Amino acid sequence: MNDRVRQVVIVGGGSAGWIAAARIAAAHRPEGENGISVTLIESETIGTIGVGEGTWPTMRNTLRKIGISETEFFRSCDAAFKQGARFTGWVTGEPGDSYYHPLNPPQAATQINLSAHWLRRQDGAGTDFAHAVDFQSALCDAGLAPKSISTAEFVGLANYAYHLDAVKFAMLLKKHCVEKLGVRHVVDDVTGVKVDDAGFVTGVEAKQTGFLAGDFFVDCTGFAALLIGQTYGVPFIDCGDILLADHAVALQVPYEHEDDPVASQTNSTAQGAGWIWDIGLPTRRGTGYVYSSRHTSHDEAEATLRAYLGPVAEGLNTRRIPIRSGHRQRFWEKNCVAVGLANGFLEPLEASALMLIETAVDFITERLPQSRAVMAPLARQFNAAFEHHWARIIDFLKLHYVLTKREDTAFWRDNRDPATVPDRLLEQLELWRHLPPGPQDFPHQPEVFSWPSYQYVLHGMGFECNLAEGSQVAAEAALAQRCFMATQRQQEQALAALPSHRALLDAVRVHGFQAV
Amino acid sequence: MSGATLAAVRPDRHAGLTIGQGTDLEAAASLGHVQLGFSEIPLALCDYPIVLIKDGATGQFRLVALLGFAANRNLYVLGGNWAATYLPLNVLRLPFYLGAPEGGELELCIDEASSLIGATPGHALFDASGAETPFLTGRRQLLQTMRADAEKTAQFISAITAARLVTPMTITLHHADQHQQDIEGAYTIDPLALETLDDAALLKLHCQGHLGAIHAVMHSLGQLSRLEQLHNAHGERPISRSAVQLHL
Repeated sequence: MNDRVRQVVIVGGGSAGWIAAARIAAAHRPEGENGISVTLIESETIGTIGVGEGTWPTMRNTLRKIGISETEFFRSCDAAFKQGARFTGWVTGEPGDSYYHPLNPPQAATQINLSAHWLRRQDGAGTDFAHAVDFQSALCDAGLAPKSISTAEFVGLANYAYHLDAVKFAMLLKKHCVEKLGVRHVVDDVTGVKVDDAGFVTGVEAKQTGFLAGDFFVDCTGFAALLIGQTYGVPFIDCGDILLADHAVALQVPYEHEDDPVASQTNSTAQGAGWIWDIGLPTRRGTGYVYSSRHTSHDEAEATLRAYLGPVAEGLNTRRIPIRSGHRQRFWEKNCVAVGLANGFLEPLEASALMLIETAVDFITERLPQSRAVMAPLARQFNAAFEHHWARIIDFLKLHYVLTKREDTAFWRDNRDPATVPDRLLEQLELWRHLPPGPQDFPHQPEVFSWPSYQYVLHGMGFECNLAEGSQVAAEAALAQRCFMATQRQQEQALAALPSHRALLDAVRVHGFQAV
Repeated sequence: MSGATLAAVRPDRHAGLTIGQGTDLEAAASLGHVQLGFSEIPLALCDYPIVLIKDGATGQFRLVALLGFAANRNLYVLGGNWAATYLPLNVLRLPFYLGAPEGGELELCIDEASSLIGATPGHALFDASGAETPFLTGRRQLLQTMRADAEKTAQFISAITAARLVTPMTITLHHADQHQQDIEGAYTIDPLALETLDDAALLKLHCQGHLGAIHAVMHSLGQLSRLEQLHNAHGERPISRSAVQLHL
């Protein structure tokens, strides 16, 4: 067969391009008749966005599959542990308004749904949902790590993801791809795209290199969307009517003291026209204000961020990033698939950017088309999956806004306007007033945000529901009681056993993790 | 031994001091394991299960002889004797240590709280003229030898971890009363990983002189039966069977 896929060409670097290159090259051999070679072409003149600094736990598997040790990753990317997110000021904006969305699922989540039992306890005990059903929020409160130096790499006593320096991460991936995985790296500006009569891309023209032929193309050209957008004309679906934030202003700040604690959760603090992210790396904090320019001016936004940071930000420059929330109508056309920002982009709440890159690349790597004949069915599968993922992520991000009780600014009031809420989310919210979120709400496999995530946000934000009096609740009361007690015990043990986050990051730098 | 009772060996301070002959059984009785040097592997194999455990502070592997099933219980101390043919050097050298209680370089130290101090019959550390006795010189040399051997041990551990031969294991004790206990935290060589090692990696281990030690460590797990036997000889909660499961 002469249309066999032998050459995979990735157009664009950055996290998306290099993760795609690494996963495909690590899983496919270049030699032999059926070998697959991987080429990545990137421009020297186009910078990367480099603000995706929070991962999901999926990144542990991605690193393992690529063949980068966790120790090397920590050392090269100034990485830190991420155990979830803490949302402050999202419900009322009053002092003490704060809740966690930890990465651990609730206690015994496969056996029992604790929502109603927790609501019933609320009459007396008063422990918030995240602390009542899992110990991880207490680890975050205490500044402790999810594992110790004697835990094997990629294994946690609590579930974890990473915070990282996105620029350094792309550099590490590039080095690994070129030196270890045999990826051909071409640095050049793409000037044109060649498409044959059947509508398949046959190669790209580059300024110095000339024609670069390929059989399968991964579009990682970011907002430019060179292949999926400019070549194939696939429209962009804007969802700015649902997610109102349209800009971010970012600022990196040093720690006041070298040994200041490093937060092991993303701190997300609501403001008048959006929210501020605050991500702790061992070397610095990455912060930024995600805001709606219809509700605040750029200058006001910068002033808000500076007020949040205080004196530590004095004299440091900010960077403004436009956010156009939305995604392509389709993501795979003919022999070309879009990954990363070319595929779509949402505001960084819940850090879905890198995770979606991994989800896309998992599909592409595991189902790499062998010839043109299988492109169409694979494209249909991929497009259906990503259409689903974007819709569900948009729902989940909107959930954080729609549950607010804040009345103080137009931004929060506008966010609650039902006209801005997707129909499916409205229907589910109505259902969840009577039944807790459960696996039946999320039958898609894989599902990026599943019912435990919804539980954490709904109960964290004080969603009013009427679950406590069901007949099932009484029948399961004893098991629920055991779950709450088990959580309490695990919390005591974990608090006694685990090192501080900063201490573990120091130990990783000196000693590293063992592979087992 | 606590750091506070460790003192550098000095002629003035330790002039009249004698160290009792024999093994410091009192100090050794609370050891659940003892660190081994690379050169001790063929000898220790005859008496002890040899495994790797992780240092709690650094996560780095240590090569140890298991002395019991609990962290602080040495089953080999039985009826006032050490019930084995080979005594690990880390026990033999007691109450001597290399330490730096006064800061600076490592030097020969003694645990002044040891029950062997002043025991009779004993060895003097210094003679009447204040010169070091052959006993003390011997101990000094022993500790230097052990220190050099520790470097070889580190090379061995680094070779087997780099070759991805190390795997966690669970030791399950089946007590006669049906009670079952899982012991985690020990690591051994994964025989499947060894058998599937590529030629170049295998040759490298052979040339480094590590291959024999790898087999010795694997085969030493048979000595878990010895631990079982000793446990039962102590007469508490008899074990009917122990089993090892490797996490492959």
